[in-house]
Amino acid sequence: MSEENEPPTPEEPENLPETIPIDPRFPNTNQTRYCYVMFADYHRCIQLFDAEHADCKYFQRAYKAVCPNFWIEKWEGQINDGIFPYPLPKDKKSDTKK
Amino acid sequence: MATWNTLLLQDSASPLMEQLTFFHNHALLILLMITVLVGYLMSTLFFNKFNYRFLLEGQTIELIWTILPAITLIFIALPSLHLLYLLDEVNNPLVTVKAIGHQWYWSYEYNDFKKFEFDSYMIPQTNMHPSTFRLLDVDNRTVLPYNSQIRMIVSSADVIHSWTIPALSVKIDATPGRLNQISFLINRTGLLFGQCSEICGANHSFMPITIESISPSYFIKWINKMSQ
Ligand SMILES: [Cu+2]
Repeated sequence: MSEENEPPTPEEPENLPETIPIDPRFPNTNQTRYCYVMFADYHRCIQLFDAEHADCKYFQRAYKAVCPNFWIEKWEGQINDGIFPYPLPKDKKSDTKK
Repeated sequence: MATWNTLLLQDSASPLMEQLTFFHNHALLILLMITVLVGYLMSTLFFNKFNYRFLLEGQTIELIWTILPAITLIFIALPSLHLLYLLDEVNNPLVTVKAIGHQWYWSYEYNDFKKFEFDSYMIPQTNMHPSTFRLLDVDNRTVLPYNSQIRMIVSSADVIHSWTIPALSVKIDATPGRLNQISFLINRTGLLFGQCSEICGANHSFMPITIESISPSYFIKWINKMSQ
């Protein structure tokens, strides 16, 4: 294929930072629940481990890619007020059941 | 972009739209043949002098004109179904972009790289340049890389809108409280235009969509510029 005549860009990598792949649990046009599950899983994850845990980063990338920003802001407000409608473990130690 | 003499489909900018155009032409040709045949038969009925008082049935001709249309329909249905399932195919995307409909503008969110969002308003007639497309150009275009699989997440903040790009065969409702996903690939650079396609209020006609399709390396530069 013919490469276009671009000005040299040595400092920029050619490959795009890829977004999260398709989740086979949510193959439909409707992705509402995917966003919600990823958001809830991230917040469960950082309660069970910590915010820097590598596995939590995936959930974070997923919900940030899929959820509208104003949904995220609303839900974070709900978590702070303790009214988020999903059972989140209180902290690392007190959670016994998964 | 649709212009005054665009009577059929717009030029395609994605492989799926190309296939849809082929199917459209195929179906239209069959339609034309049927119209000509039926038109000819009807006009001969009006102008001939044949009559036969005791005609009640003709099994052979009835069999033929039942089976022939059925075969014709198969030739339309099979490629149609093939395309229907091809359109639903989801490939792993390279970029995820969110489009949120508002009364009356679209806002776009890019969160894969650095997080940024912007609103995209139509350029009013009083602010137009000589190069502006009236009622179609926006102040902040949706920049997307070409030859890359793109996942659009479409939703709304108030009433139902519909995010539409005819050249990509994309039309998907923006429903409040729901996220709709659509995946497409643009196979050339350029500007692609669309308009909100769900009656959403007084300025429904004035919330167009403008996609600027550019090469991935320039897309990265644009990302870096926007997220500063
Ligand atoms: Cu609208």
